[in-house]
This record gives sequence, structure tokens and C-alpha cells, in this order.
Amino acid sequence: MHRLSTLALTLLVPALLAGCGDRPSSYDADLGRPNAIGLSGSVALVDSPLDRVVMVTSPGQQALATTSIGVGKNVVSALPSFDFSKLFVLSRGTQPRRNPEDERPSLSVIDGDAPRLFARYTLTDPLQGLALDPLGEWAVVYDAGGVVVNPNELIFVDLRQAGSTPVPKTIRSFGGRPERLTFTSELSTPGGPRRFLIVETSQDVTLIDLSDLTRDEVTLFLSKNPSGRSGTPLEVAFHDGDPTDVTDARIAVRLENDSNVMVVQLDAPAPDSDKPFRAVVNVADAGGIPTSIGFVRTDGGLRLAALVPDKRQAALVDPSTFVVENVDFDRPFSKFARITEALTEQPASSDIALLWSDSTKSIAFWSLGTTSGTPFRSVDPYEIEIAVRAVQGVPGENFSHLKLLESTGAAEFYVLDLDKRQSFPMLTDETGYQLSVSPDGQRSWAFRPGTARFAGVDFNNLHPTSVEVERPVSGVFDIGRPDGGRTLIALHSQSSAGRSPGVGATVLDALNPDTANSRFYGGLLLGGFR
Amino acid sequence: MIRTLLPFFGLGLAAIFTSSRARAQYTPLPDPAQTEAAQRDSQRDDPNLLPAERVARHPYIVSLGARTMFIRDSGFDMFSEKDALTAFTLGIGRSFFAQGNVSLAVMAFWDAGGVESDVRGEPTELFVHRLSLGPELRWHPLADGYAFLRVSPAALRTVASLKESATGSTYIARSDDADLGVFSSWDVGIDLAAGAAYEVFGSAGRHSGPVRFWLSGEGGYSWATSTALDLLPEADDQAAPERVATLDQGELAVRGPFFRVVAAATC
Repeated sequence: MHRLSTLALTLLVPALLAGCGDRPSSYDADLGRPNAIGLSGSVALVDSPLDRVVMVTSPGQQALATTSIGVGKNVVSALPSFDFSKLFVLSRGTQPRRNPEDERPSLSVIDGDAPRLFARYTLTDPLQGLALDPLGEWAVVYDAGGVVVNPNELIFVDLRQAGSTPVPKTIRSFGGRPERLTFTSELSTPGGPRRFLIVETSQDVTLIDLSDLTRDEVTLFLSKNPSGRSGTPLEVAFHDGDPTDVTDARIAVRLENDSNVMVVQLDAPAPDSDKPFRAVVNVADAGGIPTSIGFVRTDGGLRLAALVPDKRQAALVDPSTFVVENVDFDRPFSKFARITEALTEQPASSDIALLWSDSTKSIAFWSLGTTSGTPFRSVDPYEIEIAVRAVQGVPGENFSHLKLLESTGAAEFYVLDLDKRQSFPMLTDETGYQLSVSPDGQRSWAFRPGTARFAGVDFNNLHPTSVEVERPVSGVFDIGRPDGGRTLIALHSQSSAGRSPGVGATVLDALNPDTANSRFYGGLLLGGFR
Repeated sequence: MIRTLLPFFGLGLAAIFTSSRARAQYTPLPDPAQTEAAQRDSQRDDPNLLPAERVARHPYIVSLGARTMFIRDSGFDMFSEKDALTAFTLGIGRSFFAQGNVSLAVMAFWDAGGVESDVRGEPTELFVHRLSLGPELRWHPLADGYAFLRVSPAALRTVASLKESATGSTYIARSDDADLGVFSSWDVGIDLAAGAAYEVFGSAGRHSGPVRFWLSGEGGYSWATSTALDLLPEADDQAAPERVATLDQGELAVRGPFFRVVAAATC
């Protein structure tokens, strides 16, 4: 009996000890569906289950490296900066916080060219909306969620000072909540030049002076619609006016189902006022419900253009007199964009706009320098084979005169040369292709998610190069390398047997994408978390 | 390092399988191979022998059991949710010197075991072969039990794999130490162990039968060089894409404290 006890004890002790020791829980985290964001020098894979971002860079030809950067817990939003050099990641932190050491909400800023955590701002409240300033000076966090929330609280982060304390500000509410945020360029006002954040709610528009966040915001009450309710803003536009006149900066608001457009002039304040400007609101009737607005320079001066596709016309509103002049089109154009700065030869004092519509297979160049004298001659239409859903510009200087015209259902897209006014169709073998332009502005890439084929179009000669890799592609990214070359990363994220997909990549030379010289990298999310 | 350890292996194997010189150290007895079985049994059953010398009358040992190792290395985490690696153990040995309560033997072990788990849902496996050989110093305070100390140089062969879903292929990394020349597919290590063995049957009092059965337990520390977890699909893996880059998962060091429990027979 004694010997049997000895035997049992001898066997039992190691067996019990074999159950000791656990590994970190990160090994058991789901792969999820990582959000891939292309930056100028890297691809960011937002790995939410592990509260990190995996930055994929290319240190050399056919080479790939990953850097894991921790961000705040519970990522709710990630956006690239407008120049694609940085990534902004908004995290809710630990919610609800039950202990003082529970992590607070935060905004992390990651350098995309040399991956590192550039700055991290601790926030007071777990908001889930993020708006970035195109000029890179501000980030605004908004859109609270929870049991009791203040949806009109905005948190301002001054990006010019890394580590600055975010400033919360609650805008006056009359029942609405912020839905869209627009940063203006610098506008001249009687109190000095300043930038504004324009906050659109469901029933009003608020101007926040970014030069002094302690100053009370200006709430613009919108004109009431025929049913007696306040109008809902759909779009805003702004213009500084004459640079020498500090009283003619204007902001325009397009309203839902309303033919009126609001024009707000930042005029001189009353003599006894300590305010830097006075918002003077006027309304102009576009003659129909507009679908797009914007300030343009015409031969008659600054105008607010409003496209009214139902009437196949545009209304040009004089922002000083509110006299409306109509320009007729032969097509129901619903969108427009100023293309003056993209042209090699730019008109001196007027704008040229590109007109398009997702309901008609046509585009048009609108020369606003002749609208007052001969408006019927100002529109130069071009027939194409697609109804245009979106227009993409090309960054940089070399090919800024090119635009990519995308459609929703057609198996083709167009490269439009604004200088020559020529459009080049690019046919695809199937519908559903997604278009992207390389950050260096030298080429575009078209791929269809879930297929292994994609193609690049070199803007130098519009020569397309088709590539077929060995796995279905979920994203195509063209990033810069330290040696000056460029790497093409075709991302693969393929699920199997109900598991979350692993992430791999095929790496090619973006300047000469040859699959005979590619390299495959698997398990991009399997490292860096020990 | 393997060059340093090879002489120990050689010496150990020579000690196990070359018996004539060892027998000269025993209390004078006729050569067992040249005597009849009854005479040999009676000599083994001599109750006047000291414990160590009694054990030496059954010089050959074969053992079977299990070895559990506790590996805290972070490289092991991708293959196991726990820190333990349990392996099958097969051991052989021979005692070649006995005097009073002390004897000396040489023991060789083959430990083979694996674990499997997953990394974020991607299945992983690790299998480790460990060959060790070394001298064992025994102290026999009892007629049916002894304690021992052992130092054993070891050679390890690890095979790690990960089934990666983006490629649909299995990535594999094997022991690889380019500094070791022809032994480059092995890692080297050393075991330091202390333990005790107790005879469970085969003897009655101080009378031993022809075969004695023992239960042995030991613990110690096992050290080994680390191996790079540079995972790659096999060259003949049809599912793998062309020119797959190495999946670098750091290094794996199969080292840590261990326990071994075996049932052994001596004759």
C-alpha cells in the first residue's frame, strides 16, 4: 500500500504542475477584419482586437516590414490625414470606467512615413466621431454615445502642439446635433483673419471661431421649409471674397428640399459690439431644389453657383445683390467642381468648372468667364459612355490636369485630360472595380475586391498594366520607399472555414509590376504582440 | 558546442555497451556470461551485498515514462496555452561502478513530445525530440532505493508549424544552427537532474530476483540553445504561393525546469 501511494504521488505531482502557466491573452484574440488604410509611406492595419495598429512599410524592393504600435483601447475610428502622412486613431478607452486606472478615451496620432506614435491626446469623454482639418491644424472629436450623453459636445485637439490639452466645447443646441463638420480656410473678418469650424446639425448651422475657442459660437437659424419646420442643411460652401475687403467673406448653406440657399456674410460688427464680425443672413431662390453649390468667379464677379438638375440649369447668385442669373444646360447636371487650379493655363479672373451627373452619360466644361455676356456659350458638353458617380483628382503637379471619372455600374472608367479636354475610356472586364490614385500622382490602380486581378494605369502614357496575383485581393496600396522607389502592396484577407481571415500581401515594384518578381508575405497580424 | 559535447556522448555509449572493464570494479565474482543461470541468480540474491553492489548485480536498465518541462520562453506561447511540454521518455543505461553505498552509471534518454494550439485562430504545432546522455552518480542508503544526480549533454530537434490562412499553406521551422556544420539541424543543451528511484517489486527483503522493477522520479533544469522561428512553407507545398517570405516569429528556447517519472527495469 505504501508503495502504491508513493507511485500515485510521484505521478500526480508532475501532472498537476503540467497545468501551470498561461500565455498572454493576445494569442487568443480574434483576427477580426482589420481596416486597411493607405498612407504615403505605409499601410496601416487597424488591429482592433489587440488595440494596436500594424504599420506595414517597405524598406526595400520586394521587402516588407511590420511595426506594431499600441493605441487606446476600443478603437472606434481611424482616418488618414489629408496629405496621407499621418494616421489618427480614436479610442473610447475602458467603458464604463470602474477604477481610476481604467484607460481614458484618447486620440493617437501615428507617423505614417517612419512608423511611430507621434502624439497621444487623452480625452475626457468617449466620443466616436472624428473630423480632421484639411490643413492639419485641428482634429475635432464629436458624436457621443451612451445612456446620457451630450451630443453637442465637441472636443478640439490642437495638432500644432503635440501633447496639448484637448478643449471641450458644447455648442448651443435648439434640438439638433452635429452631423457634419467643415473646416474653412482663413477668412478675412473685420476682427482679423480667422478660421472657422462650420457645424451642421439637423436644423441649424453653427460657426465656431478656431482662433478663440472661448468665444461664443454663432448659431445660424435656417429658413423654414413649406411645412413650417426649420430646414435641414445638406452642404456648405465658403469664400473669402476680395482679399482687400474684410467684410465680404461669405458662407453659403444648401438646404434639404428647399429651393432657397442661405448666404451668410461676415460683416462689420455694430460699433458698440466687442465681437469680431457680424453674421448677416440672406436667402436667394435658386428656382428649384439645388443639388450642389459652390462659390465661383465669373466675368461678372463672385457668384454662388447652384445646380438645379430638375430644370437643367444653374443659378448664379450675386452674393451682394442676391440677383439670380440662370444658365441653361442641355443635360441635368447634378454635381460640379471648380477645376481652375488644375489647369495648366488658368484664366486670370474667372473659374472653369467640371459638370457631371450620375443620371446622364455626359460631362461638360463650364467656362464661367463668359456666363454674363454669353451664358449659352459657356458650357462645352462631352459625351461619354458612363454616368459619372464620382470624380477623383490627381495629387502633385505633374498630372493635376487629369481627373478619374468613376461610374457605379459600368465596366469602364475614364481618364479626363482637363487641358486637352479629352477623355480616355479604360475598359475593365467586369463591373465593380475600385479606383485609387497613387499618393505620388503618377498612376492609378483599379481592382475588384475578391478577385486576384488588378491593373495600373501610368499617367505618363495611359498605358495599362494588368497584374494577376495568386490570391484574391482585398486592397491595393502604392507606397513610397526610403530608397525613392515605390512598392505596390496587394493585400489578401481571405477567410476560410468560418475563421477570421489571416492577412497576407503580395509585394511588387509599383513602377514595374511584374509578378515574376513578386514576393508573398503571410501572417501580417501574427507578430509583434508578445 | 556540439564538438564539446560529442566526447561525452561517446564516452557514455562506450560505458553502456562495453562491460568487461566495468565488471572488474565489482566485488570479485565469476563472469555471469560464463556461469549457469542458477549460479548467477544466487550471486544476485546474495543478502550480504551492500545496496550499491546489489544494484550493480543488475547493471542494465530500461525505463519508460513521461517528462514534463516548464517553458516560460515567449516563443513557446504560440504553440501552447500552458507553459508545459510533456514528452514520452525512453531511457537505457548501465551501471559500471559500485562501491559501498555509491555507484556510477551512464544513462541515455530519448524524449519526444509535442503541443498544439493556435495563434489568433491560426493552428500551430510544435514537436520536440531530445536526446541526452550522461553520467549518473547514485547514492544507495536503502537496499531498495537510491538517490541520484545526473548531468546530461543533449541534442534537440524541434519542428514548429503554423497553418496560415492567407496562403492556405503550412509554414514550418526546424532547428537550425548554421554554426554547427553537419549538425546544423540540431540545437544543443544540457540537463541537470536529481532524483530518486524506489524498487516497487522484484525483491523480497534483501533477496533480489533476476529482474528488479523500479519507479523513478527526478527533477532538474534543462537548458538548450534557442532556435529561430523563421517559418516557411515546405518547398513541395503546392498550396504555397511563389517566393514566400519568411514569417519571422522570433526565437524559441526549449529550456526550463523539468520533471521526469519513469518505470524502470534492471537486470
